[in-house]
Amino acid sequence: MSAIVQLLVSGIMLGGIYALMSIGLTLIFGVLKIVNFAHGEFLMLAMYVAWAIVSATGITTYAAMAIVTPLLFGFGLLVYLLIVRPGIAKPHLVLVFATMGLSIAMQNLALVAMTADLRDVPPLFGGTPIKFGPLYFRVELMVGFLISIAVTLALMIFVKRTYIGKAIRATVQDRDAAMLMGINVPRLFLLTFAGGSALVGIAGCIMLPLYSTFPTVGLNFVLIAYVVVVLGGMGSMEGAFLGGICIGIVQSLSGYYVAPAYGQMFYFLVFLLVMIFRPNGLLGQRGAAMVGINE
Amino acid sequence: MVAGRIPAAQGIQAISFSAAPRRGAVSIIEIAVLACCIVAAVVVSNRYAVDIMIRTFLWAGLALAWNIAGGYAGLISFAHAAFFGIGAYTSTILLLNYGVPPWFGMLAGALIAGCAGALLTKVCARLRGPFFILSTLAAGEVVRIAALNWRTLTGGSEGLEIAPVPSVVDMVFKNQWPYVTIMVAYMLAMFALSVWIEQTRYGYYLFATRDDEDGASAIGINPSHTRTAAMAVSAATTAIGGTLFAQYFLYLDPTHLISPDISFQFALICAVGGLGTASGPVLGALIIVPLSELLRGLLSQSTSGLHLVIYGIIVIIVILYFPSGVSGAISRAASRFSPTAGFTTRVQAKKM
Repeated sequence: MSAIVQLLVSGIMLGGIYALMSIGLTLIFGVLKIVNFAHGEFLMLAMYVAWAIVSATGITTYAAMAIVTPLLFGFGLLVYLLIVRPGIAKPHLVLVFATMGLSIAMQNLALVAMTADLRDVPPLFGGTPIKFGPLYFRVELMVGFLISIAVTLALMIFVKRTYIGKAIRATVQDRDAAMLMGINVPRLFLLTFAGGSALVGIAGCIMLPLYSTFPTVGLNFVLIAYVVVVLGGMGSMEGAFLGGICIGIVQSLSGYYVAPAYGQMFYFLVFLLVMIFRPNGLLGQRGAAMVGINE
Repeated sequence: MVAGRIPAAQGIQAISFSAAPRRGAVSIIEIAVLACCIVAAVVVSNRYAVDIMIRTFLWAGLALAWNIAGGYAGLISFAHAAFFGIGAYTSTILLLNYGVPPWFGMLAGALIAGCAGALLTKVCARLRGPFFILSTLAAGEVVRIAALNWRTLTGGSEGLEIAPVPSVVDMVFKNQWPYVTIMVAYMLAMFALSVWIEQTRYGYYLFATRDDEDGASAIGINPSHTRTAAMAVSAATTAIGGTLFAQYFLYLDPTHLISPDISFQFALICAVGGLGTASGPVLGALIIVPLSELLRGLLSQSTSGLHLVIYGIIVIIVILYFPSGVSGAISRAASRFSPTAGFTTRVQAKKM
């Protein structure tokens, strides 16, 4: 019994972190209607920058977040200006392929600069887990989960309450109508893309102590992020959160009861089943999956 | 519409020729490119150069196969690495365990991959755009993880090795030239198939479904059947390429063979060359494969991976500034001399 509880709670915590990693992607998709195929490499960059800061100064990755997040915001800005803006008016395949090119370039740049070695940071408190009754948790997982929850809640309040947040929701619903209502949509694109990248910066900082970083680290996680985002309904933040938790639980349970190697296969199968039976995801806009994109 | 173009949809007619690359016709430029490939294959004897050529022709054929789904049907599929892997593994497992020659194993692989492709398209029939793309990515990953863990069948992460004993029956050769011949034949067959699809009634169904699905169903085309058939053909021909790959490299492992990177490579070759044309994938492979191999050779002293950085940047620039690819750029340049070719090119470039 306690094994199941332990697995469920770990799964939820892991899922919270997956959710944070995916929210940037879903936000960018909702507003710009593009899938950033270099999203995983943004995460890889964040993890490497965090690692560099931690190993140079000795502060924790959570403190490094204060530097990594604005840096990733700036990087997102740069990518938006150089790649996304020239391609956004063209057929949507242009940005699919351009971001794939970016992903290849970044992945291999990391390989050139950092070699294929695994880089990790020392564990907090010497790696002793926290004990709650019969349950044990890794400190890093717990802290990461709490930060994820805090960031997600803050973001949800931001989107509900502020003018920019309302503009974002309006653009997600209908880009043309939003533009007609006087929303500066191109500026919103820029802000969303950079903001989504900054969220990946936060995610990178909380994931670095849990997993080591290497040039292709992004690929594994970006596949999870795609699953989470589609599961929740592309463009829906609440959906991404729910999707993240689901995938975390599926991974943690199947890893224990079936085999860790097949854990990944399970969530891809869950993904395909959702696509077949509920293609708009759990909380997505109706018809989103059927009408395609950018038209 | 131009009245003279309509008979092309009737199915049976002689192959037409044109100056610039054009849908449903073999152009002088394309013939020149293919002829150069064959001449190069005969003339060049440097072992390294021939190796690059073998890879180029194989990738050209594979990109043409991907293009049937990705270009003609508009089904951007990242599950093709799985079809590629199914082809390679089916023929190799049949060869190693049952002694079936790859010449027949290849057909078995094509059959299985074709069914898998049809199934995938049927279950994802309602999905569009990124939803379809990501579903194919997930399906590819399912196959990769299965291949990695089904150790008794696939050898898991250690992979499978074909004994390097030369034998025509087993499609293993000591010299390079039989491989060159096989790869050129594969590329030419795929090119011929692409041009043939372009000028049949079925090809026109495909283009109509891709460009305007509602319009296509309104005139009596079944979009689901049209797409499924395109994906099945594309998957089956990709699987044949997989068998050829296995027979040339004589070693298979799931991590490299079924990785999403392979699918991305198919797509990027087509995108750089020109999506949805018969000449595009060939041109793309002729540019990208030798370029990345040469860059790899040139930059090998510095560090591994630098050639792929340059490759990624080139891809970004080509895609952003030449969205209809190299083939589209050639067509545009040639259209100054031929007004009708210009018309079709502009239409194709707009639809991409």
